[in-house]
Amino acid sequence: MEPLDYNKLLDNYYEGLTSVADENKLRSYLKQYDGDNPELLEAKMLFGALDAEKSETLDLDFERFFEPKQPTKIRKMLIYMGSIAAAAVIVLSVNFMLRVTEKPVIYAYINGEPISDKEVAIEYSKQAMKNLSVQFNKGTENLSCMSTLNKPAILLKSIKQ
Amino acid sequence: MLSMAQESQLNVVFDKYSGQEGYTSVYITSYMFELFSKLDDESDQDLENMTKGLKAIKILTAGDKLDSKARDAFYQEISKVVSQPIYKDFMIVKDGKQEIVFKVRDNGSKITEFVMTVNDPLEPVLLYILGDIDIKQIAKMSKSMDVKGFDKLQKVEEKQ
Repeated sequence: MEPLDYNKLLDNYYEGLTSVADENKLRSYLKQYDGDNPELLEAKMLFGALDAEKSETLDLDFERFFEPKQPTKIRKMLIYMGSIAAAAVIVLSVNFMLRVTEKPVIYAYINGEPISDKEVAIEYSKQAMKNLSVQFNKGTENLSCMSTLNKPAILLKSIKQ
Repeated sequence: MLSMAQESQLNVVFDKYSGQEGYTSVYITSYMFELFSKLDDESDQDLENMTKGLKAIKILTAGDKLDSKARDAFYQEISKVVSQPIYKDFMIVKDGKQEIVFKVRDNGSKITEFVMTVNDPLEPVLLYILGDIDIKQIAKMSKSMDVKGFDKLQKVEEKQ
């Protein structure tokens, strides 16, 4: 059996053409190699470093990064208050919009100008009715003999009918 | 149809002069009467009763800033409208140079319009009430305004 050509095996390793078994053979050989072939010495150092890295352990717990944060009391309070503030803003905005778009009630028109002031409109209403009543007064001041007159009663009767 | 046309004529006259220089117009809307209906004061119950059913009160006057020709023309225009057969004479009052004419228009069962025109050389007036009008309402309206003698008119109606 011919001795293994480790130089050629090393070349194959660098090319990625070695099997796991060949790699292990190469590793074992290089571990106890004490020759002066520069390529083999360099490979020995490489394999030694790789083996050292393999044995290293990481004590960082990655799982901790994926755990959901438990809400603190302050965070809960902030979320709650934020919700209330948002709801209040919406309600006030809608209310404001409704008031802005709400048309004022027009109780009267004076010389064509609309009057939305209740007090002013009431005064004008009273004046109008008083105006009517004053004129009525002129017509009915001396109606003491009304009960004996037929014509107005007949007129009223015909209107009622 | 004729009634509708007639009512619109009176409103047409009102709209023609409303807001014009020298003329004073007052138009009380139904919202005012709705307001009266919401009054809680018992003393205003009469006011509420008399305004119930009313749709509008309109007043139009020609002031003394206008010349006599304009005032005469204004009164003539009003008289032409209310002299139509659909307006029935209710009462005519003559007081010196002033003549006050009351007219009503009905739809057979109810009075829908009550009109008062004042032929005053200094200030002719048109006042009309639209709505569901009861003569009693008019009588009560005048009564609440301290009308003298009109209570007799109420008694006459009650006897019918």
